[in-house]
Amino acid sequence: MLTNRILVLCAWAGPATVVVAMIGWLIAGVLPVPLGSESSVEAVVSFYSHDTRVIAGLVISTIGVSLVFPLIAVIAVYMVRMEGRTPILAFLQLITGAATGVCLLLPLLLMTTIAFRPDRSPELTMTLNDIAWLLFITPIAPFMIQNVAIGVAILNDKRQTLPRWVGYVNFWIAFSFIPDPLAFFFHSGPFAWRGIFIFWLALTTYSVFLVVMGLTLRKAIRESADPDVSAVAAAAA
Amino acid sequence: MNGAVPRRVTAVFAGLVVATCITWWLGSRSSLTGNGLGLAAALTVLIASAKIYFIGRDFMELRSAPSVLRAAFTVWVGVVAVAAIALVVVPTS
Amino acid sequence: MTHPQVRVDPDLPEFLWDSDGADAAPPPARRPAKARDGHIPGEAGLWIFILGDMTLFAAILIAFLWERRSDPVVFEQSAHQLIQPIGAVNTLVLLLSSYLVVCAIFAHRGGRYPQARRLVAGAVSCAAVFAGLKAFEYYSAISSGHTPSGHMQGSGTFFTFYFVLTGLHLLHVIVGTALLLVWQAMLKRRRSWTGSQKVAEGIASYWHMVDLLWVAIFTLVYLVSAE
Repeated sequence: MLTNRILVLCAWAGPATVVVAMIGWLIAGVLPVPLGSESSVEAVVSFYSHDTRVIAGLVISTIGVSLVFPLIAVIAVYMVRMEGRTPILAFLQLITGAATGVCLLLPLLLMTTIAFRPDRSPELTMTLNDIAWLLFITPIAPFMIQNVAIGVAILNDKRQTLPRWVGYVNFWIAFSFIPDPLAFFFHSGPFAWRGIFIFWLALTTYSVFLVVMGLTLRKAIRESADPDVSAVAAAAA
Repeated sequence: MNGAVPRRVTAVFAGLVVATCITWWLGSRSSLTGNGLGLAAALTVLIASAKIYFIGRDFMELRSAPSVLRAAFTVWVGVVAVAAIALVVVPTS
Repeated sequence: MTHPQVRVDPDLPEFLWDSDGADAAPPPARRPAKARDGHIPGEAGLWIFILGDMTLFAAILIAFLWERRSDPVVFEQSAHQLIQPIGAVNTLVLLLSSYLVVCAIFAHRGGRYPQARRLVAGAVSCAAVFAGLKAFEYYSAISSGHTPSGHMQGSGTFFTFYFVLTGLHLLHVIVGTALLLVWQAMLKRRRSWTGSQKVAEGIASYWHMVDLLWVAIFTLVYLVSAE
């Protein structure tokens, strides 16, 4: 059935986000070692001087991060099933999820714009780079609200549409974003925007979110489409 | 278990209080020699690790939990203890 | 893709159709429950969160000890500016609150609701004492000029970690207190043990985690740094 296939594709968009975005960032040079707040002006200017590579890589990464939108949609479908007639948490997830997509897209587009004119004044480049990175790292609220909404919906779901541990994982992921606003306060060290407890932790846990949700939903879609499992469910009820 | 709190749990609590006082006392002593620094710190970490282990075992009731869970918790305590002791005791050159 | 017992409602989109009596039906058995060789306090998923949370804290504590190695003398001086007795009293206060929570679990199990409520109230009071002492500590540290500084050097680094670690921990205390109050509400309604076991044990386990994390923070930030 076409709807089913679309649901499955949307679920796969979760892991796909991680893969495509990482490929883009590797090409652009954002990974493995991103620019930090402690990077010198020369380092920043030199990074954006490889303009073709940086632009190509970042464009790929923007396509990558946009793949969160299908995942958010399929999460919403399942949350509506969990909540029933008043799917407030599903709507909350939908809105905040959409916001997270934008929060991921804009900084990357800004970085691409920096690479548009590599001969810009270094001060401007530094400033734009600061803006891009801080916008990328610090807006935690949409992400946290999205994760908490998912967690609460899963734990409150009597029908156990999705496994309960996924709810707890969402809470843990939300928690892992809390230190991120510290990036505003530190220019170096583990709490700066490139710090291990900021960029690397958030990157890891958000990737976990995308992969876990994608795979869990794919399994749930498959099981609800499988006539044997549905029959067992009907017989047990 | 419908009864009152087992004496074991109360004993653990008493032990935790005592251990806290011991580590507090250890911490308030100024180090006498250069080597004394490492020993007192290592001892403090060891006592604290034991405290954490017993909180898990008796307060969190992990002693009656599946062995996998208990093992995961014990591994956490062990890894953190070893890492902490190593970082504190190994001299900084 | 629809379940046989779903009530079709042509006015609503498919995903809003209620399964008839689905709320009253037990959750469909997808696979047989594995026989376990023990009882998981709360539920399995919660422990992913608890162990994950503990691991995050452990990582920050290890990072703290790592940073200490570049300047142990300054760390020692900075640690001495913390009011150790407050840290120690806070440790004892949280240990007491954990003990009261254990007692409350046993009371709830045994159906002794008034006693359980008193014990949980006691634990919440301990949390309030902890928060009060912490507020005093923060006030005293900030008025001595120590803030989570933007400069990761020497005493700035120590106090950065101090505020981040204790701040994150305080957030946990606040969440834990809210959960204790949820439990208190369940006790007021005299919810039976069988209906509340998972939730009560889960809340209790979370609170013990809060206690245990403070033991780690007190040990490493207050004591070991100062030795």
